[in-house]
Amino acid sequence: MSSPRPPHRPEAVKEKQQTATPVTVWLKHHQAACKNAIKHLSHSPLSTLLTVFVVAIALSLPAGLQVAIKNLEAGHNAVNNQAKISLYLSMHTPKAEITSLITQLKNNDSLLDITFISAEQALQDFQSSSQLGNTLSTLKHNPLPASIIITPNTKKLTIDDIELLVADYQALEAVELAQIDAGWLKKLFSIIDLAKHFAIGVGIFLIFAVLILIGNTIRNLGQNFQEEIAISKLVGATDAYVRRIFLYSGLFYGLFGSLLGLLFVYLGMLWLTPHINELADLYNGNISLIPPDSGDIFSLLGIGTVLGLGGAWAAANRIINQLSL
Amino acid sequence: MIRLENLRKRYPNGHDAIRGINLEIKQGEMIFLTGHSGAGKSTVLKLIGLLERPSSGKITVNGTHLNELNSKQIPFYRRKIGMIFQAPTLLNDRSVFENLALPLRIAGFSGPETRSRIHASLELVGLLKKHAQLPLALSGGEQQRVGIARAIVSRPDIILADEPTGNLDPALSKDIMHLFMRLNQVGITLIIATHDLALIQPLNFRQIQLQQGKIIEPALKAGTKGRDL
Repeated sequence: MSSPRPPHRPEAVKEKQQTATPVTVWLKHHQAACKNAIKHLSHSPLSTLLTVFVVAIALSLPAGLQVAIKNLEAGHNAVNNQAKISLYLSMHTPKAEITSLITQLKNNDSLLDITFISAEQALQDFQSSSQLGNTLSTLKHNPLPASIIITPNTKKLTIDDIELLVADYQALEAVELAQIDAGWLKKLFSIIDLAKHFAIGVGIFLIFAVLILIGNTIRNLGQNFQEEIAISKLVGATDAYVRRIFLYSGLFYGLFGSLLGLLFVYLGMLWLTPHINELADLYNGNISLIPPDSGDIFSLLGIGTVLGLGGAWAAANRIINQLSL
Repeated sequence: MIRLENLRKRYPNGHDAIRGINLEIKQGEMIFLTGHSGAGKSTVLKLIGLLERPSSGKITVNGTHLNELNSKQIPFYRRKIGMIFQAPTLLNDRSVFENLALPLRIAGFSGPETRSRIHASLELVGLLKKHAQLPLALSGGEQQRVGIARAIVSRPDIILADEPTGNLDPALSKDIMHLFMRLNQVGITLIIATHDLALIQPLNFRQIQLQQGKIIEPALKAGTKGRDL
């Protein structure tokens, strides 16, 4: 039997060698804290699941809104790319002036496509599409003007830029009427902008809610640990040692909450897909839902984990300070 | 060596628990702090164990000025001290072995060393066969011995015991005192707070009597050795 050592005895050096290296000790402490956290969370599975569920709901709402905005923006860009400017030319505009105008437009790299439609072409198109062929052929003069259809590059030009461009074209002598229906695009853009701000507001609000929820859950968990914390501190545990078990608990709440939240987002998309397909049929099948990409997924998991750790950190410090050992 | 110099402790409610104590305890000494309830025995132990900070005065333990230790250094200081309380303060959902392993794991001892030390400590307190039991399955005396085993498992320089026999019958109390004497014989400094004068009188170790936070009677000189029970 080995007996307790007398103070300052020579084998103190040998004893030092019997302790593991600081890194090994640190890793073992983390391993123990992780195991302990899992053990305590699994002791009350219903409570743990409820907390994870609430965290998931709180995180899935802003994440879902983010996905919705992304889809709206994609839809907006698709529609935006189809925006066309129509320049209806004045009657009897000399051909040379029209050629010069077309050349000038083609030199503008903010414009993707320039299509000239002569007055004769316009009449033919109208005759074939309107079924008024016989009636129109009785007219002595072609009443339709020549026109130029311009497709602006919406990656370079905003709706406001395009409107300024239209005003410039309107000022040209050769142009009788320059027009674009940008009003609805501006409204759509405003709605998306509003939705973005709403999502940010909801996101911030829910982030605080998750922090408070996890902090409060950890604080309650701390009640069960009070005796263990007190005894651990009496035998030499540092604050970091005591804090670790709570940090692991918070990490699990945040990580699993965000994973479940991600699942909710995907389930929501699955639920919406048939309805979107119905809508897509009405718009020639051009609409489809864009799922969260890897950046969105890692952001959500990261935010959940950081929130879990943050809430746990605050609660653990409070528990440790209250104990004042 | 432990030295208390003009030590004072005033609580926030204005109560003066310790009022100017000067005391020197030699390395390897075993002393008893005696006095009525509220005399300041437990407060002295709490101040040496850094469970509380003094209002003024100085505490030096083996050359370390405790007043200068910051909150991050305190846990490492506590690892060199064994603390025993009237109630054994054990984790009731862990086995005796796990209770003893806690301070060793915190200090970072390896697995084989942890097992070896726990074996030695349990053998010393006579509970080797009960290592797998939960504390609540043990008697009060056995629980207190587990508390003592936990205090010595880190092989501390100093043991602070606050009314360690307060909940035990006279026979068990004598056993515990006998155990303390064996620990003292291998060089551990023991400071034991007790009000059980009948138990400690025959032992002939130094007694420090406290009253209202002051030392009133250093019964025996420092360094006096006791006799066997």
